Order: sequence, then C-alpha cells, then structure tokens
Amino acid sequence: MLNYLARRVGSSVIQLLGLALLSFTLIHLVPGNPVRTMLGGRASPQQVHQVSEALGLTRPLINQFLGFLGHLLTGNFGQSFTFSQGIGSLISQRLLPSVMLILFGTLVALLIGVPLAVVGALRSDRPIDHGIRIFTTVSFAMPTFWSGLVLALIFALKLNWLPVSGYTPGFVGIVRSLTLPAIALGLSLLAVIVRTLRSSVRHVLSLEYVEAAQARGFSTPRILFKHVMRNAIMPTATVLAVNVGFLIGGTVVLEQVFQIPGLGTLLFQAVQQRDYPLVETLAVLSGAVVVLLNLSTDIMQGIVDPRVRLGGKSV
Amino acid sequence: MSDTFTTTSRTTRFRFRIRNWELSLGVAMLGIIVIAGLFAPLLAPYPPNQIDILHSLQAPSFSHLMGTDFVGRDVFSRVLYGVRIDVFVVALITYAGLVIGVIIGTVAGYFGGWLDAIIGRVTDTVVSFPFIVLVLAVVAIVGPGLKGVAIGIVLVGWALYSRLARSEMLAMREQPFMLATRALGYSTPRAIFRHALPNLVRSSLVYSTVDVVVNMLVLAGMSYLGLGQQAPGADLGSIIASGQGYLLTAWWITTIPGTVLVLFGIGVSMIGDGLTRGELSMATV
Amino acid sequence: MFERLRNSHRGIGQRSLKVVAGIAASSLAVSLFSIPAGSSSSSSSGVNTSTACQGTPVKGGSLVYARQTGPLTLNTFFPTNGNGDIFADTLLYQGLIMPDPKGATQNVVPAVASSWTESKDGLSYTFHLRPGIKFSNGQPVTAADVVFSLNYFANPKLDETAVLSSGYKNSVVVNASTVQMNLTTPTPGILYNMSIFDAFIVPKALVQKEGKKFWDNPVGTGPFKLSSWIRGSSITFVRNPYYWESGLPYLNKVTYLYAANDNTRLLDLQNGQAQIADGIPFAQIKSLKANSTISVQSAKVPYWVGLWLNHQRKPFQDLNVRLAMEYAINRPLINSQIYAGLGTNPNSVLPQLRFDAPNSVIKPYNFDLAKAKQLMAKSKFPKGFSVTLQYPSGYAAYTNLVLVLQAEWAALGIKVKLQSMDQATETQDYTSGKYDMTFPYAEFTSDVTVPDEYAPFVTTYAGGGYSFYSWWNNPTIAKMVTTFTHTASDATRAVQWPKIQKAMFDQTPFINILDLPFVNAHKSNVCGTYLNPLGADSLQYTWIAK
Repeated sequence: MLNYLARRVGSSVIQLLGLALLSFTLIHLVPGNPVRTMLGGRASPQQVHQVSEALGLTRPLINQFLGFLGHLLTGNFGQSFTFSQGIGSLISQRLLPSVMLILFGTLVALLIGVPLAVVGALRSDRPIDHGIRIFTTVSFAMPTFWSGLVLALIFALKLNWLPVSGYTPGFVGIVRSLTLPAIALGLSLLAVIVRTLRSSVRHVLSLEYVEAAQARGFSTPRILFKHVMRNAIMPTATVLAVNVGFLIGGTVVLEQVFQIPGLGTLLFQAVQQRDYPLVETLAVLSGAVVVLLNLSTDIMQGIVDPRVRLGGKSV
Repeated sequence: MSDTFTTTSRTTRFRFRIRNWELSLGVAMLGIIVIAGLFAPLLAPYPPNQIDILHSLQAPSFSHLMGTDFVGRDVFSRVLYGVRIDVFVVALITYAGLVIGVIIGTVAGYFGGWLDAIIGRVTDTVVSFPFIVLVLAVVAIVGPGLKGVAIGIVLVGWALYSRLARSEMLAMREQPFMLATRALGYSTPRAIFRHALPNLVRSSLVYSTVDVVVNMLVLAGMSYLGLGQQAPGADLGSIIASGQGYLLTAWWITTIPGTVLVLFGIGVSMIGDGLTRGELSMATV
Repeated sequence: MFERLRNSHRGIGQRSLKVVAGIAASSLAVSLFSIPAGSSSSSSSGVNTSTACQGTPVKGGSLVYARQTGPLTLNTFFPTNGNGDIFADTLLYQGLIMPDPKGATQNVVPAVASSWTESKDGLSYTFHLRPGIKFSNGQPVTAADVVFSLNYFANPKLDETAVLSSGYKNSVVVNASTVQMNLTTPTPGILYNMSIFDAFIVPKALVQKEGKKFWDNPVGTGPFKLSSWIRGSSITFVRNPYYWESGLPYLNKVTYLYAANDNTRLLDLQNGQAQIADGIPFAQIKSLKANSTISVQSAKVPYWVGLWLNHQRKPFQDLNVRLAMEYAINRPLINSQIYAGLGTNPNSVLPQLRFDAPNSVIKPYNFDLAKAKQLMAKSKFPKGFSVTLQYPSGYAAYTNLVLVLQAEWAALGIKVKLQSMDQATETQDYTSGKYDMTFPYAEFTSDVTVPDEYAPFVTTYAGGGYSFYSWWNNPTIAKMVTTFTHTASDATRAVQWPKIQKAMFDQTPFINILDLPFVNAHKSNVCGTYLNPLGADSLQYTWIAK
C-alpha cells in the first residue's frame, strides 16, 4: 500500500510541476514582451522596465519559474493587473459560487443519472434502455450554454419561476440562483455517468455472488442496494474525478450565461483583459484541482480494492 | 498484416448486423449536415453577411426559411455557412490531434523506456488541464478568433489519442506479427508506420467520434463567449450568442442553430455508438 | 504592487447621464440643499412620477442597480474604468461643489463648501466649508483636507485628468473653515472641472497614513460608504450616517451589480434581481414602456457615439476620405432601426455642449452616397483600403451599428474588419494607439456640460495626450480652444465656441455617429431616481415606495 501511495503521489507531484511549467511556458510565449502588451504600445521603455522588474521578469527564466513555484506553494499569487487586488483574495471571493455550481451540477447528474443507469442495466437492450441511451446522447450533444439559454427561456422568462441570472448566497439563494445552470451542467455530465454506471451495474449483476443472491431469493431492490450499488460507487467516483476538468470548463461557459460571479467569470474577464498573471494562476490551480481529486480517488480505490495497488492500474 | 484485415472485416459485418440502424441513422444525419455545409454557397438563398436592416427580426417564412436576425441577415444562409466553417474546423482540429497523438503514442509505446516515461508525464499533464481553461489561456495569448481556439484544442486534443495509441502499442508490441517484423529485419519506421499504426488507429478513430462532438461543443462555446469566430462571420456558436438578446422576441435566431448543433452531435455519437457497440458485442462473443 | 501605467483618460469620458433636466427647479441656487429632503421628488421630468411615488419618501430598504460597468478602482483621482469607477466614486465622495444633483439645471451647486465667492479679476475663488461637515468615518472635514485634495487635482502624477486643472495656481488655508484657490489666468471652466471626481475631497491624514490602501476602504463625504466589494462583480454601499443633507439618504443599502451584457441587465430588472438598470438596449425600449411595472427614464446628457479614427493611419490623414466616410453614413436609418429613433443627427464632432450652434448655423452631414463616392475618388485612396474597427462586446446597439457601418463603407471600397472586445481592453488599446478605428468608451460622455473638458482634450497634441489619442494635430484649432478656455466672459465664449465647433466639424477628425440620451429603467416603485447633468445617479434622493 505504501509503495502504491508513494508511486501515486510521486506521479501527481510530477504532474503538478508539469502544470506549472506548462502555464509558465504558455505565458512566456506571448509574442513580444508581455509587459508591453499589458501596458500598451505607448508605454515608455522605462515604464516597461519598471513593471518588468516589479514582476520579476528581468530575472533569468529559471529563477522566474522557481519564484513562480514558490508563490504557488506559499499561496502568495501576486497581484492582478486588472483588478489591482491580490490574486489570492480575488480567487477566494469568487470560489464559493463556482464550487457550489459544480457540486450542485454533479448532484443533478447523479439524481437523474443513477436511476437511469440502474434501469438501463436491469432492462438492458430493451426499448427503455435504448430510450435512455438516446436521451443521454441528446444531452451529451447539447452545448451547455445553449441548454442553459433554453432553460432560462422557459423557466425564468416564460414561467418566471427562477431568476434568470445572478448569484445569491445562502441556502435558499443558492438553490434558486443555481438550479438552472446546475441542470444545464448536470445534463452535460449525464451521458458519461449513465454509461459508466450502467456497464458497471451490468458487470456486478453478472457476478456469481449476485446470481447466488438472486437464486437464494433475495429481492432485486435489496440486491441492488446491498451488493450492486456498493460495487458501483467507486467507478462512479472515478468517473466524476476524471471529469471534474470537464465540469470546470462547463462552469466557465455557464457562469457567463447566468452571470454568476465565480471563478469562471473571473477567468473570462482575465482572458478578455489580458491579465496574464491571473490567467496563469487560475489555469494552474484548476489543473491542480483535477490532479488532486484524481489522486484522492485513486488512493481511496487503492484502499478499497487491493488489485489496484498491486499494479493493475498505473500503467 | 493479413490477419488484422480479416479481424476488421469480421467486426464490420458483425457490427452491421447488431447496430445497423443506429449507424445508418447517424451517417444519414451527419451526411445531410456535412453536405449542407459543403454546398452552402449553392444552397444559401442569400449571401450570409448581407444585411437588410429594414427587414430585421422577421419570423421564418418562405422567403426566409429560418427568419432573419437583428440586421436582417438570412438566418438559414448563415446557418449553412456556419455549419460549413464549423464542420471544417472541427474535422481539421480533431484529426490533426489524432494524427499527432497517435504518432507520439505509438512511438512511446514502441520504444518504451525513458522516452515513454517523458511522453507519459507530458500526456498526464495536458490531460489534467481542464480543457476549456487551457483553450482560454491560449486564446488569451493568441487573441480571439478561430485560430486561437483551434490551436488551443489541438494542443490539448492530441494527448488522449497518445494515451490510447500507447497502450495499444504496448499490447501489440509482443504480438506475433510485430515480432515478425523484427525477425524479418524491417526498419523501425517501417515496423511502426506500415504495420503497427494501421492497427492502432482504429480505436482512435472510434474515440474520435466522441472527440468530434466535444470539440464542436468547445468551439461553439468559445464563439458563444465571443472568443471564436468574429463578426460578421457566421458560426453556429456566434449565431446563438447573437440571438440571446432576442430570446423572447425572435426565438429562431438562437434555437435553430442550437438544434443543428445538437443534431450534429447526435449524428456523430450514433456513428460512434454503432461502431463501439459492434466492438463490444464482438468482444463478448 | 506598482502603479497602473495605462495613462488612460477613460475617466473622462464615460460617465454619463445628464439628467433629465426637467428645467423645473430654477430656484435651486446656492443654498438649495436646505430644502427639506424629498419635498421635490416629483418636480423634475424624467423622474418617476407614478402614483406610488406621490407619497412621502420612506426611509430604509435596499436597492440593486444592474450596471454595464463596475469599478476597478475607487481612487477617484485615477479612475481606470471610466463611468464604472466614477459613478461609484460619486456615491462615496463629493467635491467642494457639485453638478446640480437633481439635474434640474446645468449649474454647479454647493457641496462640501456651503458657499463661495469669486474675485473680480477672476483669479481667485474663496470657499467656505459647510459648518459641521464630516467624513463618513465621523472625522470633520478641515481646510487642510481641502487644500490637500485640490493639490491632488492639479498634480498630473496623482490625478489622471489633471489637464482639467489648467489655470490652477495654488490653494491656501485662510482659516479653519475657509480655503482660497488661486489661478494663473481666468479659467471659468475650472469650477465645472472641479465639481467632479477629479477634485473630490479626501482626508489628508488618512490618505497619507494609509497610502494606496486607503482606496481599498476609502472615506469621503458622499451619501454612502463602502460596505463590500467583489471586484469585477458587485459593490455594496451602505448609508453614510454623517452625511450632511439632513435625513438623507433614504436607502440603507445600494448594490451595484455589474453585468456587461445589456440584455442581462434588462432581464435582471424584469425578473426582479435588480430594481434599476442602466444602458437599456434601445431596441427594447418600446416593449419596456408597455410594461406597467417598469418605468423608463431618458435623460439628456452630453452622450455621443463617438468613433475615433487613428490619424497615424495614412487613409485617415486624408480629409477627403474622412468626409466620404461621413457622407456614406445613413444616420436616419441607423437612428430609427438601431437607436429606436432616440438619437439626433449631430452637427459637432463632440457631444452636445453649452454654447453649441444650432443646426441652422452648422449643418449636419446628410447621407449622400454619390457625393461620398466622388470624395473618395478625389482622395489618395480612390480604390479604398482595409481597416479594423474595434467595438465593445455586450451591446446590441454596437453589434448592429458596426455591421451597418461595415456595409455602408464597403460601398466606398473600404474593407472594415470587425473586432469585438471587452470595453476596458478596447479603451486600453485606444489609449495606447493600437487601433485603426475604435469607440473609445462604450458609454462616451462629457463629464461637464461646457466644452472646457473635451475641447482641450481633443486638440492638445503635446504632453502625451495626442489630441485624445487620435494623433490629429491641428495647431490652429488648438489655439482657438486655448483662447476660449481662458476667456472670462461667457458672452465672448458664446461667440468663440461655434467657430471652433464648425472648424472641427468641417475637419471631422473623428466621427460623431449620433447624439443620444441616457436611458435607464427601474421598477415603478423606485422613486426619486435623479441623475446629475452628467448622468451620475444621485441615489441619496432615491427611495422605495411600498
């Protein structure tokens, strides 16, 4: 176990370093001098130099990279150009809406997806299974921003049940303001959840002990919950962890549709206003979230299932 | 080489028996959309950017099948041209990613060792970046426009193909026909490109049906955000975005191109499902 | 971490709404603020006069205001996001004097100073501080604070628009409640120029002690004080308990919710997330007026759709090209189809300002494609040329306008490439000269009602302003403007200005597409929604009826 843990943590650290290096390289690929781009064409050479120095851009690249890493590790992300505020505090102000949206969206996907997957598995290759598959295909093919717009048109503009945009803190506020975007986000995730879960449920159902349980006359619901679901939880968690990057991407777009003041909106504003330090930090942090989530699901899986840590997985 | 071919054709027959209707329906849907885009210049009743502001926001009618937008442009013509550019860009970026990824993955899998280790870590890194975030970062640098979005997507897109091809290559490396290439003294490039690649590319092609849909959605999303296709050019995402302010008064500007996007995605997914299902059934046999 | 170096003059341009100007209350003179608050809530046209607002103003409640642009900094001397900053500053701070907050007149009225006198030679002004006036932290405003702030106003290193302090010599403390401001030469416009954000009064000791941090949690004499601020998203103000207008403000809390997309703001209003929204999309005004729960307020302010041409680009140096472009614009069509007929065909390259000559004296450009083509043929670019036009994203009107302009100029062989941008980024590119054609500010307004702000801006080439970043250099007109701004007599100025107006209009160094009113909309029970003559909201008078 320790061995597995060490290997897994080691590769995650390398991945995190890679993320930092990639973001760093991207920003340094900015054609010309990034400071000049930020300050505009008329900035005097002295001004450019002054800012470059303030940003530490006059140091050798390797020192700059090490400095950047140091900042990331200490949580001191520097200053945003656009908002003249520390990047750390900017992010902390914007974190909650995005996290809530992702959690809520995942919840919606699970609430719809789990029953569909179970039904699909139990009735596999029957018309209802095909129906479910077609439904998930459609939900997969819908752009999140478009389903968001259509939901807003129906439930906010026509029926006036829910707000059309914005974000209100507090439980009721979150439920009201994030329901529509969460449905749009959940729909985009639905296909992958239903498909994974369906096939793992089918797999478990075909296992001998389940068949034995059936033979012993246990009722289907009981078998489902006792054996099947328990065994299907881990694959679903893995799928969710793997897709968290996809969810983060979805929130970037949906936060625009619904004007939610989250990290997606912040990233979008940073991109539009060429706030490179902010873009860089947000990119690394979002990648780190993906890496760390995957790491923790893998570790959990290693604990639950010895086969994993014995090398079945990390090819 | 020859035994692979037999495998393939057997799969094909099998697949067609099992999922015939799904595959055919997908091919038909995609076919219609692609042909419509291909022949947009012939099919479009109006130039896509021709404005006629006195006839703005007209509901669908015989003269404007999908109505007109806020400056009186014909939505039908714009959708046709939008499909044309989107399908072209998506095909280009998806298969560019596929080619790059498959080559890198094959090389990594074939040689193994430190090269494989490095490529593996790079792949892991790229894959763990949230896709849209990385595309946005590239757009921040390159500037808004289809070019930036395309570069961003390719920059991420190759990685999954590389992973796929690598693991297939690992498995294939020890198969008799690959061992034979070595025994026959074929050069390494010949072994890789003539013998290994054609076999590994199939799973990548199947996966690409998912990738095409995802890329199309990302492309549309970027255009929706105003970072993709720039005005006045037509593109499905930007047409949808432009209609957002008219949701209540002119539903057609937003809903029709959105439906086309969905149909495109369904068509491609059905093809993918058809192929995969055939394969899965094959595997269980 | 370091000073924002952008050097932009965004601030200048963007605020906007001139209020409504109901002409009603001409009695508002120097001492107007002793009028019991609320007694005049229905006097000004354009303000909500619905039956809900006929009653006595009620204290309390909170207001959410959906706005097109939010503050990036609260440093009132150095705004970087135009009206986004300035309209927030106007709630937090005030100057010695201010533009009539109810917009009834175009005059400046007392604020931190309760009265002032002007010396006969026009070279000095004496301001008497309002007795007992305090900052929002409870500290009294002193003469030293005023001198400190006025010196900021005149310091180009500290004040972005210090060019507006032209003529300022110094200020001295006369006694604890009196300050004298001296000029080098008579400059009547300086009173207007110091009534706005660039000369707001801040506490000397605190600013010196806290440095840049002061602006994160600032203190002023405005009706509200800062409560919380999520940059790029929203900012919340609460009532300033020490505000000097007795009984005001009515509202406990005001939140500016930033929504760059005009349609979103409108939906926020219709859906109830916001009670008031600015920058209403013109195309939707008609349907909004039919909605009985919403009132549309239109205010005449110096607001225009100004299109800047970069004179560093060869084609724009050619007068024939510029004139051809003017004549190729079908303004009546643009006005009726895009701006709901609310605009007016301009006869000035600047917005409508005091001393402007009427259309009968200076005639607007009328659409004439044949003439445009002739002019183009005469130019150095008879076959046309290619340029990029940058425009702000999120505005239906701009999105539509650029498509029409593109088509109209295509007839002259001018190939226009369109580039939509975030408005702050667009302004940044503009001030750094990285543009061919651009709309410098999405909401482009003069900050004062007289030409004394914009006329020097657009003609001063030297000193880094490059004629407001147009790189248009016309020393003759520049000299006329300098004479105008330093002439003491309004009668003389009224004669000088039309000549300048015509000279600039004939040169058409930039293009004024249309003059427009400011349009905002609010729930019908939001009362007392006054704007000053420049479009800033005077929310101290606003109250919410039951």
